[in-house]
Amino acid sequence: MPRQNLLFLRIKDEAILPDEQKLIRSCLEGDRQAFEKIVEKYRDALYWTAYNLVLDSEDARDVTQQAFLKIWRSLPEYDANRSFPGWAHKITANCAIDLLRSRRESEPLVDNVPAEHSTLDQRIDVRRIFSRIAPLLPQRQRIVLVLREIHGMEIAEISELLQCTESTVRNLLSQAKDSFRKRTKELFPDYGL
Amino acid sequence: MDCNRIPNAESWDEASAQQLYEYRNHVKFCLACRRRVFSESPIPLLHELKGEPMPDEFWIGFWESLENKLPPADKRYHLPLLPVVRWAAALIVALLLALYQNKLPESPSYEISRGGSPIRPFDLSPDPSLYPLIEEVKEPGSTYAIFEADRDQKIVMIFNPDIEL
Repeated sequence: MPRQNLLFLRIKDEAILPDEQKLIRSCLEGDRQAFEKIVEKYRDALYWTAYNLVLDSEDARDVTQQAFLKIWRSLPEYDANRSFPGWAHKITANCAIDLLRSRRESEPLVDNVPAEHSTLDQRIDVRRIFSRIAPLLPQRQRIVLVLREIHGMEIAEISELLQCTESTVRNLLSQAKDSFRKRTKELFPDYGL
Repeated sequence: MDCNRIPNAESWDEASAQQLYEYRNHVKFCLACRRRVFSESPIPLLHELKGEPMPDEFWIGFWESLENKLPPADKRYHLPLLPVVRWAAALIVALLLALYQNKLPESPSYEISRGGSPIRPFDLSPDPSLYPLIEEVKEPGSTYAIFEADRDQKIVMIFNPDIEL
């Protein structure tokens, strides 16, 4: 039940607006100005999806551009009954995963990462914590954690993107959560985890 | 929302979407709950990484560069390429097979010579001079006898099984 509700909220939250439908229709007719408006609206959100996966600002910008290019090309296949942002995020995640695959997977850092004692941030800057810990996670665990816990993607969608079974995704997610907790405890002991 | 209503971070997975929305909003601004939730598990706070707007300067040149790469609208593919290629390949293979099968009986690659005259290997019609036709033999126990009068004449006689020869 909670998962269904979550899905409902996501769809409601990201439901396509009439203006946006008009923009998409114009894009289908080749109107580049309409596409520029779509780019302006979604570039930040897609950039963060890319950044959380590739963990590099320049690469994330390139991935975002790749994703928009793919969106433009694939617009004739877009099903207007589905959420446009959801579709666009999926394309972006796919582009980011392609980039990660093309990179030689480096071993995640294990040792020599000092704990942070001196700069206890009262607000708890999640971005800073994530930036420290995410590179330490194995790539597939990180992808699953980001797509599920940050971007709220369904397990089935993630399994499709990673070309693996849903149970594999669940296992990776569970391992990723455990690793993330463990690493946070090690590297940010002052937060009392 | 009352701080007491924010449950343990480990149980946020079971919350409804509405509850989740309220919890997230609360811990965004309530420092005490934020610290408490984070100390229980940092995972629920990861949701905040969904992203905030980047400064406009970051996007300078982005659209121009993208626009240069956009293909004209009529050059966009309307069907996923791979399935089209797969179906086309299957159709071509099926066509080739059909053509090849129809061609086989009509074009023997060799001929067999029998008695000086060539015989096509797939020509199965019997030669009536060599194999005389016997109209109806209903009795499976019949016996037969062949009399050879001369080189070109044969007399075949069929007898009922009850006739003693």
